[in-house]
Amino acid sequence: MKFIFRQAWREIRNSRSFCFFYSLNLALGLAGFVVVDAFRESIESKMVNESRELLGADLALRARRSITDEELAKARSTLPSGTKEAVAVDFFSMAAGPTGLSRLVKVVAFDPGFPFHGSFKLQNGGELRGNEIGLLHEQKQAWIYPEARAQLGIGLGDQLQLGKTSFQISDLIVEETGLTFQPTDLAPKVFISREFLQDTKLLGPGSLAFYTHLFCLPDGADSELFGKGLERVIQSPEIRTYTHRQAGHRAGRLLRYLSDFLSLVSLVALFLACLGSGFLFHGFLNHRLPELATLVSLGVKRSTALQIFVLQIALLGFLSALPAILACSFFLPALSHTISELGTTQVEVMVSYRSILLTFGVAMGSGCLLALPSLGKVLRLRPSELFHEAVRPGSKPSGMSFLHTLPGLAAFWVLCLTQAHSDKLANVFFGCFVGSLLLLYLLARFGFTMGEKLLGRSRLPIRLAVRSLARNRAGGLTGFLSIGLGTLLLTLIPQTHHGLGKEIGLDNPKGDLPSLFLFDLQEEQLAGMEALLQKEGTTLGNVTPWVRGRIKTIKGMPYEKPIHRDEALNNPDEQRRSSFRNRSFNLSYRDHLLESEQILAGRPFSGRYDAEAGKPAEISVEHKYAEALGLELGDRMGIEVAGIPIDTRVVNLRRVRWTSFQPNFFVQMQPGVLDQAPKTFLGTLHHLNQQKKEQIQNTIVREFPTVSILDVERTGKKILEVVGQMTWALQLMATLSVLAGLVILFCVVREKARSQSWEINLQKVLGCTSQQLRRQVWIEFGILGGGAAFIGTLLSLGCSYLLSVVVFDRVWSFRWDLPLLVVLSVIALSIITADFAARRTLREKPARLLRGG
Amino acid sequence: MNPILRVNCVCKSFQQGNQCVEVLRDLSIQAEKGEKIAILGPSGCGKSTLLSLLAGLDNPDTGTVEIDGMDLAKQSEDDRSQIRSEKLGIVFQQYHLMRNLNAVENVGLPLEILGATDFPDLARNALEDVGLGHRAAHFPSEMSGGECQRVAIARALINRPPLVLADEPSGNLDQKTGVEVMDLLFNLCNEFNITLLLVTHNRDLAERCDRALLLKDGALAEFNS
Repeated sequence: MKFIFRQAWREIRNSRSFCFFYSLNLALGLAGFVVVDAFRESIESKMVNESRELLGADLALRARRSITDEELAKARSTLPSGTKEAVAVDFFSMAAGPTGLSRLVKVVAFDPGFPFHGSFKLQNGGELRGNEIGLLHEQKQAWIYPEARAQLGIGLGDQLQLGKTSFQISDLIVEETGLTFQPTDLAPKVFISREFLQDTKLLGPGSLAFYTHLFCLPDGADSELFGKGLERVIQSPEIRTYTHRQAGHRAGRLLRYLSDFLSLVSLVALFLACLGSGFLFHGFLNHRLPELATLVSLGVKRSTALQIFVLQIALLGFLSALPAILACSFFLPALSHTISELGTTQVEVMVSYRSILLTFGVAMGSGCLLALPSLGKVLRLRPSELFHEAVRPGSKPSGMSFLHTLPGLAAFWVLCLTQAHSDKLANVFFGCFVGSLLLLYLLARFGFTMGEKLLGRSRLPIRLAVRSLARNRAGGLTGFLSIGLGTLLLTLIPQTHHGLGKEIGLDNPKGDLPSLFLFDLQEEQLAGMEALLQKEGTTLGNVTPWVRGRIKTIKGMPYEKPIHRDEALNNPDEQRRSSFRNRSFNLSYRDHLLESEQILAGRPFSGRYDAEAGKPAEISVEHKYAEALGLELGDRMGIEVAGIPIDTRVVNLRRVRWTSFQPNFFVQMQPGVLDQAPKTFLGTLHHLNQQKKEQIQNTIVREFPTVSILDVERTGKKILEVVGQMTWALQLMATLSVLAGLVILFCVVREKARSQSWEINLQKVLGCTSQQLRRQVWIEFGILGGGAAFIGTLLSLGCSYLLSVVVFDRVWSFRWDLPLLVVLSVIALSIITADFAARRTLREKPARLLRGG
Repeated sequence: MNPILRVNCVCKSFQQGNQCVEVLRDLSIQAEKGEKIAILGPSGCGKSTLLSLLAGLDNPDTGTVEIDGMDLAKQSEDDRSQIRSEKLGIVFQQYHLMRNLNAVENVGLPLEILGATDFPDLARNALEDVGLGHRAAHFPSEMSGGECQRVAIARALINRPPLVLADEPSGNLDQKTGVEVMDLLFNLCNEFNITLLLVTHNRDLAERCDRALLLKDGALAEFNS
């Protein structure tokens, strides 16, 4: 063993240049990996360790309606004596300041005692735990976020109008805990006591509000166990039971999605880094084969020789992990900034021991796996060729050597599965990745061959360049794959972001997007609202009824509340399905499709419902909602609206472009069924400039204080901000991939120049000038970089289109300037990198040839 | 006493395209301890193939190669490595030194392979024996061809193997240096009573051996100058 260690160390000591570039490559890939892993760990740790504070309690029941006394009695019967209880209600509403300025806010009205865990941090009042809050419950006071203060032009001591009453602003919130079910909020929160909620008159029939009953168990009680008990007795699918752990998971959803995507992008950087390191090792081993043969001839076993190189790679992996972990200090502040912009909770990102160990493991393991194709050569070594005068000892060629790449790919797939919590996402990503890799490989091979044929008779530097690409394929292909994949990622992310931005249409004031979105309009308010708007010179568009319904049966079977399984916590696909299935749903009725809807299967409604015909009512279901409920065309669904059962049949499945901000619903019913049902209305206002928008909004809040208004532009901006932050973080990782690609290119050129130094010197002896040779390098790697960037960009456009179809319901828009910029930049960078890498060899004196190299 | 090397009726052929080329045909040879044997033959006569078989780097199609009584074909790959490390020293025409190791490290390598701990001192002594004590820290790229071959000879002899296979040791050297190197090899083999099997084109060198054999058409015959 000592001999193996000594030899491995000698190999490292005496191949410093190889070791440096190998480690640099791997360190680049690992840097992204360790940062993202630390990010993920920090989120998980936050969501697990502080989940009680995030919920503000141990257990909670939450519904979009008030929970009945009967249901509460059942719930209480499962809980231990000494359990404390509080209720909190949260909903969106308009709030107005003393100057008349109004904004949408999220009102949280809570009972004394809340939060049972965690606290409010106030600017003036300091830190207050639930049982320390006094005045807020005794007087009509409100705490607001500084953001709301700025938006409403309001200060401490001013009156804030909420519905039919007003509250005095008594403090500003610095940080708060509890009721953190959503990863992010679209409007700033306003906290009031539930004691005074009734006075606002904001919650009428059909109003959208969440009612949360929070329970604080006595010390030592197992919240998971009592959570299961609650779940058993609460049968209504409309009420969701939360343990603090589940609430923590829900709150961390957005950050977890981001970390999943970041992980996958960082894996590309890691793969590219391994590809580069693998290529370098391949060249290094080829170079070392004669000496390896000598070692075997001296009596070293092949297995020992193999162990020397495996140990060398493992040691190099270890050495690469060290700077990667150090590099975290560079990336982590940037990621922490992104998180603070994204979430409602503060997460401090730190590198854990687990992340460090994992990084070392991945560094050492990935190097060994990617060296496998090369290491096979050691076992196939032919030391007998040492006795041949003109033959350089090598190894027997193997037609099956590609099989050695399979363990590496399998390991990459496993990493994808573990890093992305969704199997579907991981498999789609892996499939796209391998597909892109294969396509790039085939196109590169084809391109190199065709290039030689088509340009074989052109000017000398071009001829030599294409010939070199076609005949030294290993290096060319490695460079092409790495640049191609890096470019793909680099253009894919902003291209997708651009599509989303274009769809939300903030840069197009004359687009179809509404300016204001009105909801919670009562039927009796409609005529007055229309008259008011007419006076203001505009009209209420897309007036749509909004009815609350409950699912009673699906395909004739009673619809039962699904139990929340633990795996749903970690699987986004499961989470989505689970969230759909639990939601008591919203529905509407109309006889036509909006521009944002498209029938995917089935037929339009047959007209108004004919009660005499005795047929089920026709419904149209959004396709993803149908998939989650297991509904297909022609299936029956029993719905209950205001206690009245309605038998329905699915006549079509629809795709909805939710980003259009038009009043869309998961379920639409044919007209004539729900006309008399209790409902509220939605409506939109279009083509308003900022000033007009402000003016109309303030007027509506004054005249109809219970109506809520969503400023679509503001909301769109908020969404784009969140997407932008995520894009920025992803882009950072993608840049790492391109950087890894460029280092690979540098290594490829350097290795090529080194292995071809004999030929280069010969060309000089035969009369080529250094400038001609340099130009040849420029052309060769300009073609390589340009070709790879072009193909990578085309693939990214294809992938972004695919992504828009699968994830964003066809939100796709082509941005021509970005691909052009990327292709030109990659060509320039490739030429500069190649020139830099080949400089030393090109400067060599050809006399070296005469000395035998 | 057992001969140190016994080759018995060895045949070896290679497939070249559709043709089967028989390189060695019923070849037999025996070497006693301390004996010096030269093998001569034109290019392509199979000398390299014979050396590969003797070094256990390849297996004969038929026949046996025994080193110190052990049939190489019956040994596992690892056992053959063990035999090479203990019983064989090899001197190549192209020296085949490890480029990343300096002279003393190159010479001590066989001892390291055997797990010896005192190899640096022994290697330094061996280097002194070949007159290169002052070059101990030098790398192969910093030495002349003759010096490299001396290092290779020191490496082949450092663990005192009973048999040394030398493949044209002076083939890449000028005449004067070649003579010096061969003198060194013969002297050291005599000093340590090592059997030497020397493959060469050089008749003068062959004459310095106890006997010379001519490899022709895949078979060995006594060579008479």
